[in-house]
Amino acid sequence: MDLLSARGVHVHFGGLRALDGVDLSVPPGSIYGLIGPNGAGKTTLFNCISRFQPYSAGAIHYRGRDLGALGPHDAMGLGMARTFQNINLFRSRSTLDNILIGMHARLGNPLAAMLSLPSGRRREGALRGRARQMAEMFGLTDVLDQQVVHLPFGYQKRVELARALASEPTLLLLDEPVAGCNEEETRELCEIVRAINRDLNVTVLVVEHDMSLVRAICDEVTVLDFGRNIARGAPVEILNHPAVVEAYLGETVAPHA
Amino acid sequence: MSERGWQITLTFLAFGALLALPAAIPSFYASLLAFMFTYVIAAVGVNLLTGYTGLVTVGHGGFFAIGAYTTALMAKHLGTSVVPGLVAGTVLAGIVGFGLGIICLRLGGAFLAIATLGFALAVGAVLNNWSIFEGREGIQLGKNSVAGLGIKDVGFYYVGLAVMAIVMLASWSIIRSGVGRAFVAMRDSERAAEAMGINLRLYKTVAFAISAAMTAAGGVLFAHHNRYVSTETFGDTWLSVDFLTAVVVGGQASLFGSALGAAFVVMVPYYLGELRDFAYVLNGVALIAVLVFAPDGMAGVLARLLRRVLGRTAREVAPVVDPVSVGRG
Amino acid sequence: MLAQQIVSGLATGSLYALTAIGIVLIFRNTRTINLAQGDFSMIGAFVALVILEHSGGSLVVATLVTIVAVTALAVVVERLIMRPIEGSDWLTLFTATLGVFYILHGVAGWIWGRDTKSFPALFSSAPLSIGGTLISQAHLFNILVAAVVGGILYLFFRFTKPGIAMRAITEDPVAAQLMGIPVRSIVLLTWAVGGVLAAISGILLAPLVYVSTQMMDGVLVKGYVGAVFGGLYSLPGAVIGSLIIGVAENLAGGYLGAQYKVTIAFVLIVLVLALKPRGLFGGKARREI
Repeated sequence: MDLLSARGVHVHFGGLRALDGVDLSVPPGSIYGLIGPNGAGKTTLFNCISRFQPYSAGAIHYRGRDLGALGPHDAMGLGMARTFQNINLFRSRSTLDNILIGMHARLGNPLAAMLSLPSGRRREGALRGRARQMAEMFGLTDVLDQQVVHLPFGYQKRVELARALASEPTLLLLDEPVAGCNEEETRELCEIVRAINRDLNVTVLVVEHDMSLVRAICDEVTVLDFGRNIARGAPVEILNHPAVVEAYLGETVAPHA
Repeated sequence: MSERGWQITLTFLAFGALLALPAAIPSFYASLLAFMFTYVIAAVGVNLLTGYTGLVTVGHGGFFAIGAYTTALMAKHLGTSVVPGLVAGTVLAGIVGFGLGIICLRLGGAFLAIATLGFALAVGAVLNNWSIFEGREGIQLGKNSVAGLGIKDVGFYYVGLAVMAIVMLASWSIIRSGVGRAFVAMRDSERAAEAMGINLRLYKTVAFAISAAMTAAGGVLFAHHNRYVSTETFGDTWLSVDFLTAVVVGGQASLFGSALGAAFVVMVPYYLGELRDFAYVLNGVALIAVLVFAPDGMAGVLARLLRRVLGRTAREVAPVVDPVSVGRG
Repeated sequence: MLAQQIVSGLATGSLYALTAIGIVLIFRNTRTINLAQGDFSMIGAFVALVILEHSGGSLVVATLVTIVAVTALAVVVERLIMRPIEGSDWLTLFTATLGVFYILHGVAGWIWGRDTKSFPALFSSAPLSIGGTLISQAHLFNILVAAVVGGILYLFFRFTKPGIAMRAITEDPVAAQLMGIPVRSIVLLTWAVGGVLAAISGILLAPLVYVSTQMMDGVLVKGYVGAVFGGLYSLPGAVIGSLIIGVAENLAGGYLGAQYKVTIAFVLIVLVLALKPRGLFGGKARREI
């Protein structure tokens, strides 16, 4: 069974049809790509899945559960974590705090936490231990207590990934993860995403504009254009698919690039 | 010792000094300090909402008033004193705060500020117009007592100190917990906070409720300190403005800053009081001077001083070398 | 009776509107909620009173001198106090204007004392009858002046270079800078215009209330409510919001009882914000994804 599936999703912004009956199915264990030219609706679908965007018709199921009535804060509790297109960290906080906030869904009884009751303190200790592990895994141990706003770009990207993975999600949603990265950084990020998928056994859905990343890491991709599905398959086939080539014509990033 | 270690040590030293202080000063000054404690308590409540959660309130004078009038009416009709007033006043203000939080859920920035200002003015209007609150005539409170024992200036000083310590300890416990992290997360980025599983509606209203309850505790003590409440004090928005000023001047998101800021708004006008109108001018100049020269408040200045003394500046600013993004602008 | 209540409500609302426009102008170009807007008017009223006494009662001279004086005051506040902290978060800017508020209150009390002073009436108290509705001449004059000021501002923003530049800064300060608009000069001009508006509303209000350091406190708060009512960015919104509040207040005072007159504005504003978080004219609350 698919881990995540969308059937006939519609989103309208006024008269504009951002999504016009889109389907998507992400098998468990995969790195799945969602691509399309600018304005194709891929970010809108991404936001429907992460619950930041309501949809007017259709259904999205995650592990068989209908997401329609849930809010953005429910996604994390179900085991879905996301990153943002442009890094969106808690800027005034340290690396450690950012990762700890990522574990909010595992806070337990908030009253016990607030009042520093014994159970709350035990839980806090466990969370902190786990956060340090996450930091180590992403090479952030040196900057644990630094305010994230002062960290270099590459570090911030890794803090965001560590924060998203801190709650041990089953599905990781990446929104254009290499936007603003140079070649070197893109290569590094590909490595990290592959490691996340392989070593942590996390399914990854990635919305991306950059074809080199899609070609390098995705097992399968779905292509959208004008709010509709136009193709689906392995990256190599898809990037030569006539409809896809046509959709990308005139785009600055050609699929062959 | 770590920076945090120093903070804790200094906090204990400060409280130790405050414990010993009444032995060294006339009871008149103990009373003045107790008055200041009520402002500190209120400012801590406002800081929790405005400094930590990022929801600016110009209406907490309303909660201060709820605390003060709850205990005043209880004293008048039931003959109670400080402790029952504290319990009832904080609970009632917490409930009202929760309600105001719901109404203000979708508001931010200046809109929230004006809505909370409206709340404070509405409270003032209710106090002025409903006869039970006695308007400008006001309500007298009897002699203060705790557990049946009468207390005077110095006794009340210790009651105020104890409540202030409890409120600060509670705030500290909340701030360093996952709940406090959620508050700050909402301030830094609501979207990212939601994505981390933080229920904005719940956490915002809870922040409102806790902050309202704390500020009301200050109001309860204020009423017992003056043993009199009237709309002369509670009918307008000056309390609300004072509390917000205390937070901005003292330092947002700093408990110690709340104390410094409250001292500023109580002591500067007090000592300048003789100068009358000129006091207003100096107060305004002092306020602007703090904003210009200490943008992160008095607590920020002290923290920098402390760090300099500890010689940690070098380590703080040492840049992280990122092998990947070297050369990035 | 009803028509009369509405007209005098519109007159009060016009006064709120002049303050609200000043607040919105300064807010949308500098993110500053200016607490001192009322004090500008208060100082203006005192200045006008002094000039009237020394100029043999010439209202024209008094008005001109007052406008120049208050505008100069607003410019000084911008240059000396607000500019050094430009770019700070809005709470810091707001608190700084509180500092200005204290200073101006203190200076006024220092120079002119704490006693209230009466301001000569500009018109006879005999009301005019228009179609059976009695309207006080002062009220009519207030509405007229507010309408003329509104018209001038409309033309200013529509057709003059500085007016268009001001609007551009509201839309997008960064783009405005890139387009070569001298943002700092225009911000200074914004404060100056705020000063002109404050001077006018001070002179209009002075004969209706006594002149004192507190004379503007009530109007200032209603000005904020009117500004927020209209969405804080929209000038027509601020005017309409202020008029609604003026009328609602008068109707509540007339039909429900005097004690409701004070509360109605706050009940209205809390209601409006609960339903439309960006005010009546603030557009749809957007959540940028």
